[in-house]
Formats: sequence, C-alpha cells, structure tokens
Amino acid sequence: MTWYEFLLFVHITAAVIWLGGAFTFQMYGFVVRRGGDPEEMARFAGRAGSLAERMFVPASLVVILAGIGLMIEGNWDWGQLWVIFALVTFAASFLTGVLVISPIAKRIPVVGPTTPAGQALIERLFTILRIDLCFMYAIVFAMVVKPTTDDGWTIAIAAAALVVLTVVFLAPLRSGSGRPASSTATD
Amino acid sequence: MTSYELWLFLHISAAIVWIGGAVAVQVFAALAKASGDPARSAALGKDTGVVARWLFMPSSLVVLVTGILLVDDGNWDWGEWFVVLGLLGWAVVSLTAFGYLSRSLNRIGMRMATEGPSPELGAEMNRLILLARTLILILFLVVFVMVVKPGT
Repeated sequence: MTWYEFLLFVHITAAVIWLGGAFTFQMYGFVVRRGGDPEEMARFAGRAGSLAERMFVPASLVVILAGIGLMIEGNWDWGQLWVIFALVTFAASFLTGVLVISPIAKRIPVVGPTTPAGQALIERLFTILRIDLCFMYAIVFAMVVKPTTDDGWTIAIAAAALVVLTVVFLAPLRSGSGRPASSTATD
Repeated sequence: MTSYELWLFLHISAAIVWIGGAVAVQVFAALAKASGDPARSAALGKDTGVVARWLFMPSSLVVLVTGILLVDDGNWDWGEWFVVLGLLGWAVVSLTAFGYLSRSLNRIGMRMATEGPSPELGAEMNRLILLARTLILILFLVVFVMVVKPGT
C-alpha cells in the first residue's frame, strides 16, 4: 500500500462519515417531522449541535487535511477546476456554518424550540443544511469526474441540478409554507 | 464524463449514504443511551427500522448494481480479490442488516414503547448495537479493499 492509497482511504472514510451522517440526519428529521410532535422535533434539532461537534467537524477536518495530503503526494495541480471548486465550496460551507447555521442554532433555545418561532427556525436550519449537503455531494461529483474546462456539458448539467435542487428546497421558505411541525401536523 | 465515471459517482454516493448513515445511527444510539430516557431509545429503534428500510436498503442495492456495472464497464476481472471480497462483504452485511438487524431493532423499539424499558430489552438492544458496529467495521474493510485493490 502506498502513502497515496492510505491518504485516499482516510479521505474517503472521513467523507463517508461526514456526508452520510448529514444525509441520514436529514432523513431522520423527515421521519420525526412526519410524526408531528414539535417537542420531539425540537429535541431532534438539538442533537444537530452534538452531531456537528462529535462527528461532522472532526470528519470534515480529516477530509480537508487528507485532501491536501493527496494533492501533495499525488503531485496534482492546485489550479485545476475541480480542486478550485472543491476548496471554494468547502470554504463557503464552512462560512455558512459559522455565519448562518450557528447563529440560527443558538437562537432556537432563546425563542423556545417548541414555539412557532422556534419551529420556523428549525425548519430554516434544516433547509440550509439540505442545500449545503447538495453542494457537498457536488464536491464528490467533482472529485470523481474531475471535470476540466473541456467538459462544458457535464459542468452545465451539474450546475443546473444544483440550482434546481436549491430552488426546490428554498421554495417552502419563500412561499411561507415552511410552517412549524405542529401546525403542519394539525392541518 | 464517461459511463464509468457516472457509475463510480453513483457507487460512491450510495456507499456514503449507507455506511455514513450507519455510523450516524450509532452516534444517535449513543446520544439516546446517554440521555437515560427509555422513550428516546424506543423512538430511535422504531425510526431506525424506517430509515433502514427506505434509505439503507435502496442504497445497498445501488452500491451492488453500480459495482457490477463498474466491473463490467472497466473490464475488471471478476476473479480479482477486491471484487470477490467486495461481493462477499456486501452479501454478509446486507443479509444480516436487512434480514435480521433492522427487523429486530424495529421490534425492540415497538416493545420498549408498549412494555416500557426492561433489563432484558436493554441487553438485547446492546447486543444489536454491537452487531451493527461489527457490520460497519466490515463495510469499512470493504472500502479499504476497494481503495487499495490489493493484488492488482
């Protein structure tokens, strides 16, 4: 086994833990939300902080460090499109976490997680995390396909898919139907 | 983008959902246990049954189908060690997880919700969690074999 293979295994394993965990968190959120119990939804959203601290943050750091190791060990060019896209998207996701997700997560206990305002914040939190996850999967796509400027159609289709998913996920918030779980359940 | 790259993306994405999701379930279980609230453990057992059926099982099937397409499209030899071990690992984990584990978790979740917690149910839940961890370990070993491809 070479160093490159070892780093690739670590890189993929950490990405599996990070993205797979985030995806499953969304699915559990969906199942809990369908149950229509705002208190259970509030408890579940509260676990986002624990999961982020214990699982997502360490895994994302391992992903980036092993990725840098792979770039150096594999003598990859830092100016390639897929590398730039991955680094910019990762940075944007990190900033979103610090500047948007974290403040929302901190406001939820202040307004009360089971109040309509708290439930609306939880809904917004899940929406942002869902869109963030789409961009993380776009990084996986870029890492696997490694598109260059010659792959115009591939990039256009992937970008269109990202835009469509973002619009679809944002739609309930924009139309004001991203209501608290309690009101959804009793409608 | 080639068809091989497309299968590889789908293969890796499905593996991410399956294996990463299984790790997340372990973290959820640890948090539920630490809370000391049996209702939470019961709800988790029930929800895990749903997630396993609607998320993990389809993901594992996508992993298998795209894996077969990758071997075919990439002209890999079916006798390669990483292919044989991959198929074997998939079969062992899938049969155990979907044939036994998810059903048992769902059943215990239901019993905890109706009968309340008991040392017997708690011990059985711990045994299932240990089995799930063993299966996750096997899946990570398969990932290792897929990445390193020993013997090639």
